[in-house]
Amino acid sequence: MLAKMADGTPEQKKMAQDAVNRWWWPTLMMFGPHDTDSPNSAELIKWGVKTKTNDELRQSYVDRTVMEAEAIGVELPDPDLTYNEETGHWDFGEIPWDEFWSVVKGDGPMNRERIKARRKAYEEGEWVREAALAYTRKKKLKEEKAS
Amino acid sequence: MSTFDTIPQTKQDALVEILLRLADDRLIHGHRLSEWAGHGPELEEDLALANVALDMIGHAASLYSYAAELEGKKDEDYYAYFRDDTDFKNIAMVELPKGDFAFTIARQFLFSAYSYFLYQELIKTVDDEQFNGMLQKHFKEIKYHLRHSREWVLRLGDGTDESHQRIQDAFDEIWMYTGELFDMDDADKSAVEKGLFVDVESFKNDWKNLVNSTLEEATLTVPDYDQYMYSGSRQGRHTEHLGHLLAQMQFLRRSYPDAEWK
Amino acid sequence: MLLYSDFWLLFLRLQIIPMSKNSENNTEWPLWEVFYQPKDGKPFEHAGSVHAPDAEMALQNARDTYARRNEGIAFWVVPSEQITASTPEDQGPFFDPANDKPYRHPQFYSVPRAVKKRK
Repeated sequence: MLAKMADGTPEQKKMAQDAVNRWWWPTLMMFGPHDTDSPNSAELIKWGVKTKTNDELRQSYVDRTVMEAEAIGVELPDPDLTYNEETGHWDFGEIPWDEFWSVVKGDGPMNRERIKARRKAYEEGEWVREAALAYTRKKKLKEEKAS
Repeated sequence: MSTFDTIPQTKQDALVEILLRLADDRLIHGHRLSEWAGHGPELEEDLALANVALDMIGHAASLYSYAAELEGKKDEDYYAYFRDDTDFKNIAMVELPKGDFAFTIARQFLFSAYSYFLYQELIKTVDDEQFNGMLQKHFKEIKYHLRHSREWVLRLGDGTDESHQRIQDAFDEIWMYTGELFDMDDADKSAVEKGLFVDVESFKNDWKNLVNSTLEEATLTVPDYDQYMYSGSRQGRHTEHLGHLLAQMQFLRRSYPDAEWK
Repeated sequence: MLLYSDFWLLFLRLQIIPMSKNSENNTEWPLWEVFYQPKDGKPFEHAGSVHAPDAEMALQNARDTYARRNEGIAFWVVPSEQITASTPEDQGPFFDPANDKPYRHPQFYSVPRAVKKRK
């Protein structure tokens, strides 16, 4: 879809690029903190839950995506993105970790809105959950009486 | 073809008219169901409603696609995004705001029961192969929609005092919109003659029986079938709600009409 | 589609679970374990769990959660509390192979010649 938009009208191109600008760093953050800040990684790798570390996965993602971005015509918003001849990988800039930690801790404005909406839905749905349980109870009683 | 009281002349016109009526019902109903995403009373129910919504919108998409093929439109987007509310042929029941969970369930039950019997008859009658194939595919999912909503009518009706009141109110409120399910206008009759639709009277009793027995089992009172009934939606005379719905649904697509999205 | 709904489920579940601990009168639905049979004749596999007020809704929820696009799948749903699980401590005596108990193996017993001839 992104490819289609990047190849589309000027408005679509702008939308696509805006989206990439907004989501690039959060995407890299999704692989988790640096290996040095990831206390559980060693244990998880030992037990085979993780097969690669956060940084390893992140690096292979960047390598792949740089090529894809070029192919579809969007720019990745990292001025430090450069190909490293020695390592054969793409070096990239420092991830703004403050945003990551505040999101994880639940401080973002969207977090607050989301939690509020989920709480509201949960509270307003109480009568429904209650009704379903009441029905089941009544049915059980009827069955017990019949037997 | 204009919406207001025009009788389709050719078989193709009649086919397109029926396709659009079915599709509009499903697109609008699906849209209302999708408004529950993230607001359901329980996670699993959130998923259930989203699944029904997805099914309905999917059904609408294939019906629109066929109409687009017949009318030489680019694709299904034309019907979904570029028609105004007076051109939409859905019944009023499906465009009403989603209300509380009881209202959504009451609506889903009445509409799915109708769809179930309608499709059962259509599959026996419709002589257009492509249309009939679609109907058979969709029918499987409609059975599931009926099962889901029917089970909830029972649980809400025979649950707590609060749930009982809410779903009784829901049926009372929505009742005047059920008349349109069984209105047959000249366009419908023309389609029946051409082997593309059925006389809805043929299954009206089946529908009534299912509705009556379900509501009875749910300890609910069935409203009066002879009361005042709303009409005119299929001919483009909608409630105020459709305008708002379309404004929200069509906005992005209409802002960039020449853009490609897939 | 399956991947997306998995993520969405996990996302919603993570948000809702903390809240259920706060509700006083418990309207939380019981948990059910879902098993599905991917193809006729194949063994049932554990798919995961769903919350539901009763068996009928558990079946429906199972279908919505684990089999949206696949037809012909069979399901079993069992209230989680009905499942009795072995504990890690049981592992030794329960599961140790009976290698030191030769009389447990069919090969230990020889079939009398007379029976063999009959075959």
